[in-house]
Amino acid sequence: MALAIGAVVLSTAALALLCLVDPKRLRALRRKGGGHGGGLRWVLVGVVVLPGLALALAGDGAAFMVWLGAIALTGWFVTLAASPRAQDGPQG
Amino acid sequence: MARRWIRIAFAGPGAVIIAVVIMAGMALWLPGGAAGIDNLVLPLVLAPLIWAALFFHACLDRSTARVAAVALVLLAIHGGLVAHKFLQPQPAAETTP
Amino acid sequence: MISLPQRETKLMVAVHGWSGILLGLLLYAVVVTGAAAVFASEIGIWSAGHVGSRSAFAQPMAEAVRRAGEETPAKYREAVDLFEIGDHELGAYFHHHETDAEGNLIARGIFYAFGPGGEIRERREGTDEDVYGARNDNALEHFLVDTHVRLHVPDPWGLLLTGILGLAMLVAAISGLLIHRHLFKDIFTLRRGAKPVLFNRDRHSVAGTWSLPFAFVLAFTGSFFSFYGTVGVPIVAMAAFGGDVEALTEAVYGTPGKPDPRPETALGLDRAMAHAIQRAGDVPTFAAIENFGRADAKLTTYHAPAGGGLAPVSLVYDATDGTFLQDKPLIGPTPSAGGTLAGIMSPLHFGNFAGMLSKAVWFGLGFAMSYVIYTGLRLWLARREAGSRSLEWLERGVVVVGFGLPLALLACAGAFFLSMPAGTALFWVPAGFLMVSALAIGLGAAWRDVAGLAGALELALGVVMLALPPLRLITGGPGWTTALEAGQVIIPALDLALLLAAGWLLWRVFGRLGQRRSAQEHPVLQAAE
Repeated sequence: MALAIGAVVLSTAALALLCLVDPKRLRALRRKGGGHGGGLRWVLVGVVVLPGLALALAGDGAAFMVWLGAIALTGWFVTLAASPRAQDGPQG
Repeated sequence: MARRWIRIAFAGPGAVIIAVVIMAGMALWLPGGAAGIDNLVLPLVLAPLIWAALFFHACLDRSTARVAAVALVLLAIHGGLVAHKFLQPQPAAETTP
Repeated sequence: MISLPQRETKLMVAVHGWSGILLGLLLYAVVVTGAAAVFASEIGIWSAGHVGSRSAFAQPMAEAVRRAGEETPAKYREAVDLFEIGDHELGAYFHHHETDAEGNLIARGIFYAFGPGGEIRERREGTDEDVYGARNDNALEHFLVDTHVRLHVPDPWGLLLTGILGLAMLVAAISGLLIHRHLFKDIFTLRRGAKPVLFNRDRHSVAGTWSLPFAFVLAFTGSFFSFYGTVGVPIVAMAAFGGDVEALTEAVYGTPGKPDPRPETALGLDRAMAHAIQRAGDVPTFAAIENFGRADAKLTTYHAPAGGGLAPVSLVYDATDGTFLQDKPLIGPTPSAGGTLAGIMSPLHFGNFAGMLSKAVWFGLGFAMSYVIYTGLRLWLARREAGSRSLEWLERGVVVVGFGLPLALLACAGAFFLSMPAGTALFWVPAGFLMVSALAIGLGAAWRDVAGLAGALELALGVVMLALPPLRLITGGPGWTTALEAGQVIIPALDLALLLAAGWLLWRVFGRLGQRRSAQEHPVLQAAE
């Protein structure tokens, strides 16, 4: 299972980067730099998917399923962590 | 208005009834596979997906006529297979429990 | 992602919203208990204080089983189930299959529990429901699983209910996918400072998008489990075997081989078991003997998957002399496409194919899906807010169930600790659940405002979590040192998990209280997340 954990860590790192450069997120935060264009993001998507693909091709079904489930969770956590705390509470 | 009720009928009770009949019929036409059990196991495993496919088809197909046609054809084929099996004369010796 | 025409999108929104609001609270109960049930056996070990670490399967058992067999009427020697009960002790259920008054296939026979020296400690006649039902020492684990599987509604209605809820979740997942036009574009966007409707929509769709594939898989496998015994098997048996469910079961699960009814003692059990443990890499979770006492007796051992496989392993032995016969697929006499597909339904649903790691991931996914349901209900209400007070009862209900259900489940654990030593856990676990549920409902009706209600319930959750490990110790449970010395890490691990979760919840609650005080008169409309 060490392989699965390693794959999850790698994919999560790429997900974190994808999140940071995500154009819609940056627009919502009214941040400068409207996010990177297609090129970098597709490379990052590739890095996210590659570890899982490697596990699947190696025939390790259990590790692949663990990886798939884990990145669903880490992707969600990354998004939660990258969203700002509400300073004054919601308006309206 | 009648169209709406037809859709509701096929998406609701229709999808349930037809999915059950398809499950029964599939056991009769699916090949047994390497272990001779595919025709028994696949209808059981796929049942929720068959129902979902019927439900979403009834909701999303623009043509109500096509919704009814597809559903009724599937019902007829699978219901027919099951009826045909039961109308056949039973062999003399059956497995005794 | 998928661009449907406007009319169809509106229909999908209606389907998604209405199935969600009508069935959402029940589905939430199934998903929350499901997430907890991933760790059902660990919860069982933790709550009953089992420190035994040597499996009953790793010790000689042939002699004990042989003696029990001698006391058992011949008709019940058709099959013997071997399993662990209590603290790694051996249980054996000698039985045959029969059709009951309602036409259901059941097992009837004699159950034996063995003490550590192989002596017969308990002997009881009964059906499989009696044998595998709840006992005092697994009352908590059993309550949790039973709530998830059938919401405590008697068979077959409970299973049909959870099956329908599974289909509702399948519909919600598919319609959610069809509604959301920019699935991947929105996946990292969570606008916490926005208006309630937008904020609720974001948190619902972000969590929903990330967990979507698993929501689909879990809904589909869950409804399969609910429907296959109640509806599926009778229908397929009717179509393929003229209604003979036994014939269907034999075709799908039976072990091939020529019948040989000559009497012969099952001397090979220990030898077979040792070989099985070595070949599969671990002790079996379950074992079954067919035709005990005959020359064609066979032992099948069932093990957790090994070596990257998803499906459990089952090995077949000649029970008379312990010779290894074959690696048998779980479903079907030989490997097949259908058998493989059916065989992965369990691991995909339970997440138990890779030990603690897969269980932890599945628990997390269960938590995510509960969150999706809860935020979906809040979103539905937020969209209809616009000054309407008529839905406040529903809003309170959502908060009461959202926080009150986990609270009542945790309180069950407390009730278990207090009542297990007295042997009354089977009564007090459900009673405790009902009492705390009533309390939560009462709070829901009486509390001034909804946000305050949510905070109060969250505080109660944190406090109960904090109190459970000490309560476990006070009522006689093993301490961390005792458990670790016996090699049982689950007990300290679960204690620690509860303490950490309590810490996180209390930090959130007190953090918000602090914010509220410093914000003074800002009306706090932010719903508890």
